[in-house]
Amino acid sequence: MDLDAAQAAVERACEEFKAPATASAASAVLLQFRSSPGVLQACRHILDRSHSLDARFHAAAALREAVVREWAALGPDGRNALRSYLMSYLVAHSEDPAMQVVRSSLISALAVLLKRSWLELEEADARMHHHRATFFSELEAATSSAAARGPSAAAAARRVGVQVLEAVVGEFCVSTSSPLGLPLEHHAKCAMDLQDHFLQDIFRHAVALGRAAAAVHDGATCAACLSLMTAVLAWDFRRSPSSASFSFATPQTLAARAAAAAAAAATTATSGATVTSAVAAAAAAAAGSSGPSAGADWASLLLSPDTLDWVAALLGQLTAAAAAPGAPVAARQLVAQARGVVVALSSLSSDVFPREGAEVLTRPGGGVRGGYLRAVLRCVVAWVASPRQVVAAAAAGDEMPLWEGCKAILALAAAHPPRLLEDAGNDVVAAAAAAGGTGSGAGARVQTPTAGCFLALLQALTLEVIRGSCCPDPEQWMVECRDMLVEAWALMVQRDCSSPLTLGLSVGALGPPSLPGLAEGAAAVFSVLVEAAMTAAGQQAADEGEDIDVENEAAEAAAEDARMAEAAMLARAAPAATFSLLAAAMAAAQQQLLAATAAGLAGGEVWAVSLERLCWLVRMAAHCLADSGAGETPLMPLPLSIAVEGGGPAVAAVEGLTAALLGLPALALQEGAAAVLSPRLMESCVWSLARWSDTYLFPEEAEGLPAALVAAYATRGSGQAEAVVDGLARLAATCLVAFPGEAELHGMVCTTLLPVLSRRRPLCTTLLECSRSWGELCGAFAGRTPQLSNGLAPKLQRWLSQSLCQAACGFPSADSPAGTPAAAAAGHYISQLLGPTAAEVRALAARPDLYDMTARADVIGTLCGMLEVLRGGACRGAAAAGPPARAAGWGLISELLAPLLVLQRAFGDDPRVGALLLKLAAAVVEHHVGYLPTDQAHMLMSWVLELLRQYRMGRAARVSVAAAAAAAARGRRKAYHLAHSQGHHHLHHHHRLHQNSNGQSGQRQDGVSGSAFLLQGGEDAARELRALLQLLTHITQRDVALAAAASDGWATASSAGSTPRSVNMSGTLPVLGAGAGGGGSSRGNTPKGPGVGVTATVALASAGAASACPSAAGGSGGGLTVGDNESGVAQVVLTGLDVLLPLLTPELLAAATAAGAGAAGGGGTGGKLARLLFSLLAYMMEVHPHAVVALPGPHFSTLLSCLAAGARGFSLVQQQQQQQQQQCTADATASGSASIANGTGGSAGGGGCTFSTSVLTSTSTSTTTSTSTPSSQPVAVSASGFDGVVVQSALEGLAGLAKYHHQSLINGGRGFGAHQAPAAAGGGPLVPYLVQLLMQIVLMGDVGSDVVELAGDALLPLLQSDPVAFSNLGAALVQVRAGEVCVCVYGCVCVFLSSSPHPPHPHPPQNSFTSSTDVRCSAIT
Amino acid sequence: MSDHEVETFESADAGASLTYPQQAGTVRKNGYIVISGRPCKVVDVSTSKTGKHGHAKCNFVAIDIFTSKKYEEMAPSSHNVEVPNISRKEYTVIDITDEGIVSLMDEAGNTRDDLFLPKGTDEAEKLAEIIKENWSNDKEMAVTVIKSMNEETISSVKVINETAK
Repeated sequence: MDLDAAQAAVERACEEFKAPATASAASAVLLQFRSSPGVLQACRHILDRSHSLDARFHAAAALREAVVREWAALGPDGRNALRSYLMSYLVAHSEDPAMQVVRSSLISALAVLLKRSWLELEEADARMHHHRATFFSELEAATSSAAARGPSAAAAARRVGVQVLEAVVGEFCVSTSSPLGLPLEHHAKCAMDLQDHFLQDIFRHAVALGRAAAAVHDGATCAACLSLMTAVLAWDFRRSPSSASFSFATPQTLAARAAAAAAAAATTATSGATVTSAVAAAAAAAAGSSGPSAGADWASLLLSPDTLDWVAALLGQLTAAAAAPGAPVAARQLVAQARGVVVALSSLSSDVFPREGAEVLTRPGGGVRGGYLRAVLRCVVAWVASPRQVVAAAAAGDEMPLWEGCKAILALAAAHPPRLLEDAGNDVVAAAAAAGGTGSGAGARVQTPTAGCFLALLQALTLEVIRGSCCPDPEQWMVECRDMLVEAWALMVQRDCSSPLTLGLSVGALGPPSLPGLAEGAAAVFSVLVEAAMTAAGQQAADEGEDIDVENEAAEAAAEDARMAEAAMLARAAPAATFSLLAAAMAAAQQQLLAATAAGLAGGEVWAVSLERLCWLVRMAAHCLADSGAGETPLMPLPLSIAVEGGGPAVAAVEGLTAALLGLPALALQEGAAAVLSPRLMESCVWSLARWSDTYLFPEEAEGLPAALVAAYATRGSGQAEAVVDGLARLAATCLVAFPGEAELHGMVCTTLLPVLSRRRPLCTTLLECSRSWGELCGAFAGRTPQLSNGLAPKLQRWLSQSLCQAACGFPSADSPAGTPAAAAAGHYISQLLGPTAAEVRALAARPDLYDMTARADVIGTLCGMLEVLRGGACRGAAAAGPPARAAGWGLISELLAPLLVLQRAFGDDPRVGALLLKLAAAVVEHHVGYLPTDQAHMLMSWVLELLRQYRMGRAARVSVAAAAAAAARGRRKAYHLAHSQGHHHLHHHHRLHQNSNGQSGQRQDGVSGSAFLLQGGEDAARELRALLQLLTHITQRDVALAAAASDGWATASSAGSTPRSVNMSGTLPVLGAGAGGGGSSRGNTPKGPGVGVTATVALASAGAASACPSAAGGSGGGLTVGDNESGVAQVVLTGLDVLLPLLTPELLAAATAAGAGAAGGGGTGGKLARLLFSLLAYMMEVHPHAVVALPGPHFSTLLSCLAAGARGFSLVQQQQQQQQQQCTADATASGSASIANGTGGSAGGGGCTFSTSVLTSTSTSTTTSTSTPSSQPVAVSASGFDGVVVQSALEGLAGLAKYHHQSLINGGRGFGAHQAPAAAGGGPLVPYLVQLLMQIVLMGDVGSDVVELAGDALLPLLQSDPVAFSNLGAALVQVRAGEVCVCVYGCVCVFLSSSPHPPHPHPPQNSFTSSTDVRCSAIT
Repeated sequence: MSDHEVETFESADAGASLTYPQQAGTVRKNGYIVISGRPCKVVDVSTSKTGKHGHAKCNFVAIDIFTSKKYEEMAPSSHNVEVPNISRKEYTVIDITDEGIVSLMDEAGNTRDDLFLPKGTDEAEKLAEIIKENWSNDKEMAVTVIKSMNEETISSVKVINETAK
């Protein structure tokens, strides 16, 4: 390259770039320059000679890129030369301020250069550190060489050196590194090595240099050093014994960490006006304070007084000056950076600190930790020493000192015992007050600094901030500061413990705080919080009249709840004071409400304010009294129960608050209360009482409760507990009846309060025996009172029904087996509750004008409700209430089986009813199938079969309409007639052809432009299919039940063996009564006589449904009987799968995926659908392989194709995968259509082919959709999990099948028998096909070792049973041309060798492999 | 018990009314509602309150099932709204004229010639195209006719039998 010409070109382009007209052409030139090969020389030339700063900048940027790109070409000498060149260039130009941007590019190039070469020569271990240390010594030499040019040049050179080090730290830190084109492991190793060997020296260097610079008032160097210190403190420390065994972070965790850092940066950005990068980094460090942090080996460095004292001094000198108006920007930034370092230092995790005995920590000075705390607090206290002024300053716009002070205080409170913190704080405050320096503001003086003056300062600060934050529209930082301070208090209260010996324990919440002043401080903070909330309630009520979006409100309420939980911790620290305060506030608000109502002001402002206050207070009271107890047995909060055990005022306080809490619903139950109390207040009441009841009302174990509370709320006899229980039941009923249309309130009652009431047996017993209101509620429900039926959403009817039925566990005989007289009560209760509903369902089904009814909106609505009532009551609720209730539930359901089929025929087309029917069926199976005697189980199985068949009848029509519409949409662009010759299967074929020829873009557009009804239909269908799959999955519980029964020795189902599995293996295969005339289904593949193999009913069902002929289903309904000596599980599930699989169309999966992407949680219905499907398949293949193998050919190959598609997993990186799949699909299409054209498969065989290909296309479609839809982010995330589970399940299924085959051959059976490989894969014997499939997965896929292991499980039995198949495959590999073999082997080796997440592209080997196997196939045939 | 059931459904005998009152709070997404005298499918429901302590209101966004026109309505959730009765009936297609008149036959063998191919919206045109396509290929079809508030249209089609050519 002509260097001068290049220089001229770049300079010209830089000039032209400034003019808009020529800018684009110039930028093209510059980009081309950057990416041109051999650009390094030109860069150096320009850097050295050009006078244009722009040209130099572009040269520097090009150089930075070229270092990575041309690394290999550079050679060791070139690299060294480049490194020295860069160093000397940087030092030489260190003083020129205009060169700033050029310098930063070159600095980062230098860092990249170092990192890229870091791990080279690794084998020469002895030389390694030398080689790495060389860089630092060279840097040192280069930066100190400038000393000859005078002090300012020397300082500038030093500064550059510090900047280089900062760039190195940033580059080596995994989360901030730049791409080098190397595996992630390289980054991780570099980071580990730097951390182990150099990071401390870098930090030490920064401290020393900074200290020296501060001494000579060199602000710029100080800033650079502070920045470097912050970068080191923000390093994500990891500890591992050796870098060799270092397990590098997965991309997910990296991404998560980056996201966390970004989030932290974002919060900083929103909160502060003057956010520097250093502050953001410090924020990120603090955000991860619970995560990795420097270890104990850093203690001497970080905790040494030298580290911080100059920063503190600097802050002391500069703070006042920087705060003054007109202070230079540089000074302000320096202060901000210094503060950032202090905050980062205060966020050290407790790992850093050396273990010190309690006596060391508690004596004056406090050992190392005490010294550190004093040093840090000296800075922090100085920022917030006069709370009022600080808050005022913050309000005036300078909020950073306050915000960072709060941050540091929170970090310190999280990492250190409050006692140490207070000791250190007291010393600092006292010293500051004595010195009368900057720190002694008004706030600190007013609180006389005797004992606890640090706490007093903290309290004063907190109070100021809380007061400041309850203005009408507080700023974000104000809210954050408040939350941080309250959290700090909560942490201190929690971690305070009396014994100094337990200081090491991080969580010592053993009782009320013992530190003098802490409980009082917490109480004071809490009372101000209450005060602020009361004020806020008044302000919020004032903007009444506007519409409030309920959804936003819900999100806010969740955040508010989290805050309340923290505040509750403060309150529990001093219950005597705070609880009575709360109770008094409630009484006051209640008085206010009553007064407003009496004065006729209901609806007015006073009324609204008092309601709002009550809402807050009642929630707060519940938070104080009880924890959420999610997933645990709720217990009284420990601090409270310890306080109450101590007796005294605490008992009275708890009782008083409880009484106040219970008093509010008493108000609600008065006549006409509904007009006065708002739905929202009732909601709060219901929520609070549910939480309270969960802990205090007839708990399962009353041991944790104080005697007084046990007597009042957990003992029957006195009447008080009964009255409370009855009151709660009445409250629930009142809320449901007296507040029509308030769906949220109803939801709270049905999903929160009632489940709590019906969960515990003692409570249920009380409800059943002593509560008249509960009886009335049950009566109203049983009688289908409009408010409790049509007035509630179906879902809530289900919850209501479930809770009411579940309360049957309160009958004393609930555990006795069904049939005994003692069990009658529970059974009677259930029948009473649900009988009328069941009768109504029966009556509806029996109506002669049923089909007219399907048009009636009211009938549909009522039916939905009734189905949900049955699902909640007769299934879930009854099952949870013990055997008698379960039996009663089944009794009701068993009479409804036939009517439900009738209803499905009539209403199945309505998506709502259809889905609910299937869900009901799934629930029936889930909760009853495991407990039924044999004959009834068979009845249920037959019913399920019939349900499936009917479903398919209705579904087939709808899917074909959907497919037709989709096909027509595509047909506009593509030649439609291509597909028509394929007759019935034209839609699938068309779909494939279209996809193959038109590629992704067309596909995507179709997906997006798919009409609304199509998508809608898809969502409905996906929901229904999921219910169906769940139904099938639950059926397999029957196996477990039978196994348990058999092992218990009272087997009724089978006498032939100990478990169903051994029964199956012994060959007594199940027989479904043969339905007549399944045309052409008498295949000769029943090797073991009539008892084995194809059941004609299955064949009939599939054939009948495939042709969508109504008469076939009608005929088969009667022909179905299940064999006597078998569970029938396999038959039902396999038939069900036969029904289901053809319905899993591409459109459906696409719609399901899209629907899932829309949902908040990601994951998606499509993913769940696939996972459910494949885990069921795996189960069937493992447990019932005999039944699977005995299936008719087409059905078997359908299942196999599905498994194969799952095992292939399509788990590769998505973009790579699409092409591959299209390749696959094209092959499948060609062979599939060929076989159809030849008529080999017959009509049923054609069905199988169609499906197998449709699975292929469907999977690819779902993938393409997931990558192409606008909201693809969550899908992409979920897809990785989705793949793993699916592949694993599919491989397990194949392994089960292979094991069966092997076992069967050994035992003299026929194994797979006459089954052939799926026609889509070219037919032929099955075992070679499977071997090939598995080899392909292992060799060609980018799979992990777990997948290989699973595939091996499947492969071994196959190889053992048919070694020829494997040797054929090997021979075929050798036969093909040598070049292709090379490519293939290369591909394999690449896959095996690269453990990186970015493996070489697997396409070429894939193709060659396909072709090689084609060769093999043709050779065989 | 059987008395009870009779009471529930006899109050509004089949076909007696075109619509049925239902509490607004229980109308869900994908349900139906009458807005401005048109039968509509609900595509979105949101609830809101007047102030924090007011009663809940429901805001419906719904699409006319015949014209695909979008409507919005707001109602207190405890009040009743009208919900259209909707019937679907399946017919076999026996003829399609050039003018787009479709001759249909129901299960009982009764014929009718008063319906046109669906039109007016994108989906309807698409459906019509499919029907014509199938017809020209001699396929036997069943169509579903949706009827609500005295208005009818063909809403879907399925091929019920392939006639070999």
